[in-house]
Amino acid sequence: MALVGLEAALVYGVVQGMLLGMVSQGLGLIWGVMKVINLAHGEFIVLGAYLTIALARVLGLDPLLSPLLEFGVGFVLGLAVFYTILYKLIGRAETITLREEMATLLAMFGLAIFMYKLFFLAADRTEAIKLYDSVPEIGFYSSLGTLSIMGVSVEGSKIYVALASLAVTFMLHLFLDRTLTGIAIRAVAQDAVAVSLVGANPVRAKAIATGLGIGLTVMSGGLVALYHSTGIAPGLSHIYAPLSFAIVVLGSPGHVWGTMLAGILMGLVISLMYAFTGSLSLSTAVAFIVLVITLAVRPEGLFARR
Amino acid sequence: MRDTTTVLRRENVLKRPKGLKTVLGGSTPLMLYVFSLASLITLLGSSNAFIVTVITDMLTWMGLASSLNIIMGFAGYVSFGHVVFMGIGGYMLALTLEYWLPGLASSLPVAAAVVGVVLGSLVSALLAGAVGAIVLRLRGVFFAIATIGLDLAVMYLFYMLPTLEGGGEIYISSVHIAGLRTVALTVWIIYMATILVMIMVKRSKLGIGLTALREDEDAAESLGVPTFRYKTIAFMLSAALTGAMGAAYVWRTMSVTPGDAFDLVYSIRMIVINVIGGLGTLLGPIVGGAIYYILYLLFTTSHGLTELADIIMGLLAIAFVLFLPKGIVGWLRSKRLSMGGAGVNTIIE
Repeated sequence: MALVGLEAALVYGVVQGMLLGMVSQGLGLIWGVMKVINLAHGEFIVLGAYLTIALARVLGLDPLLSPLLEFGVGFVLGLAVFYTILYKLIGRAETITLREEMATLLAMFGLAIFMYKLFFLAADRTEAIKLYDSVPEIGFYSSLGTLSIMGVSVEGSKIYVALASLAVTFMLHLFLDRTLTGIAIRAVAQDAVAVSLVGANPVRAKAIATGLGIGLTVMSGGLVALYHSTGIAPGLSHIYAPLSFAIVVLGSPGHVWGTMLAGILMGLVISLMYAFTGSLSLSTAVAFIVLVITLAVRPEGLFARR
Repeated sequence: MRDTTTVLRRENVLKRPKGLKTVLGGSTPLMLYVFSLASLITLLGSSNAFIVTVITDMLTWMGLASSLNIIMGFAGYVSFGHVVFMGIGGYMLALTLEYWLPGLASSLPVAAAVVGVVLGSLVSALLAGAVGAIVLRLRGVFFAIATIGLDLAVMYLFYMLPTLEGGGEIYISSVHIAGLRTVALTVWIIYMATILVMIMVKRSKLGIGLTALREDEDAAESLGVPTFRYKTIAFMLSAALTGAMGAAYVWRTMSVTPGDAFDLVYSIRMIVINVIGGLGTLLGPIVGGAIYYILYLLFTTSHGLTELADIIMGLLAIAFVLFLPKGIVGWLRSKRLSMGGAGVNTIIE
């Protein structure tokens, strides 16, 4: 017997799934283009979440708007990460071997530990954020009501997050599909040598892809803060990062809509498991069992082009 | 393409010792034995609790890093979720002491702990064998991600373990704990077993096969190396040793919780130690473990640096990957310095 109504499980699964899809876009982009797995992914998400809180508290910025600013911050950080760490490891490499893969994994994890502890320091030394914090109720954000979908009432902020996730995914799709830079990024994912042969600069494409990927990740952190209106803590990185890995693998790295669909699928799996078993631990465990099985059966993901 | 003879000579394949010499021969094992014996003598002789604790801690990390070295260094499969075996070892020990054999644990805590350690390493090896059948078919990053997934799946399952404390937590009662020195000796024995297994694997046909598949798995397979069987054996050995050390670790810390026992930070520490020391070498985990632990001790005991310790360790890992990717042992080897007539590169490996 279901502990939560089936309709509620479906609606919340889809809404949370859209956020999960959006959260995974940045990871998937960097993974797909450069075969680099950003192990600091979770920390960049938490950074975005804390930024929303800090911007609202210090500058009085409406939390609904801060994801836009966070994209810019993340883009600059992404460029910095690319030129200080990744460029030396893989910037000019034509093919990525196992050794380079491992080197980038380790370097990114070093960054992850660094950032994780930085949150504790910032919470300790500044007034802008607390370690366990929630988004201040200001601006238009505070006046959002609830909405009824299929007889299930959902907070307006969660609907906003879901719609923003879809909108950003659509824009990312347009960028990669229609602009010259986007096409260059997709071309680098396929064959970096060929890109340089036709006169485009693969290093520039990789740098922009990293900036874009981390920008999207920090931005999604802002949406995470809106979604978890009850509270933000550094530990969120340990939930969102592994789920994002699972979603990117499931949806094929570098496949924008595949990632979004895999996110919705994962949201539904977790939500339905929770509805039927009542155990959040079990539903999260199932998410990772899905990851291992996907890797075993179809390591290229569900939506890979053959 | 590297010259095969050079690779074989570098890996000591051409002058492979036989029999007892497999374990004893060569200057690297000699240095390891001297270090291990010195630490044993200090553990037995010192009455200073701080020194005993520090050495036990260091041996724990060296042992864990060495056990990971078998699959990560020799075979080239980076197990990012290796902490899963440490956690399972810890849980087996805690369950044995508190739930399965509480009577024995009260009268003979050491005997019960031995049961726990053996159980921990057996269950870890079995899990590695079963899961390895699936995940060892993946290569590179996909293997790393799959082991992370395994670790997290097991972690969330352990949250549901119905314990008295709730939330999968187990606290070991103080009557089930042995004295500081007994625990230290247990850690030393597991550490020594790990070192011996590591040397034996490296010097055996298995080790040569693993080196071959690390350099080029398809080529090794086509030359008749049973790559899948070798990988599975290496993964199971590595898991068994990690599980044993994980059990001893929980015997020291006296408590085990899912969030802590399966914390990915522990995997990373094992990996970072190997990277600092030098991947795939016998001395690497020992040198790396010593450097890592001494630095960590320095940061955590000096005022003002305590909270920066993890930040500095993170930056250190980045620095090593960027500037010294072969680790200290690998760097010394490539330097071809000579010391007392013999090249350093021949002394260290």
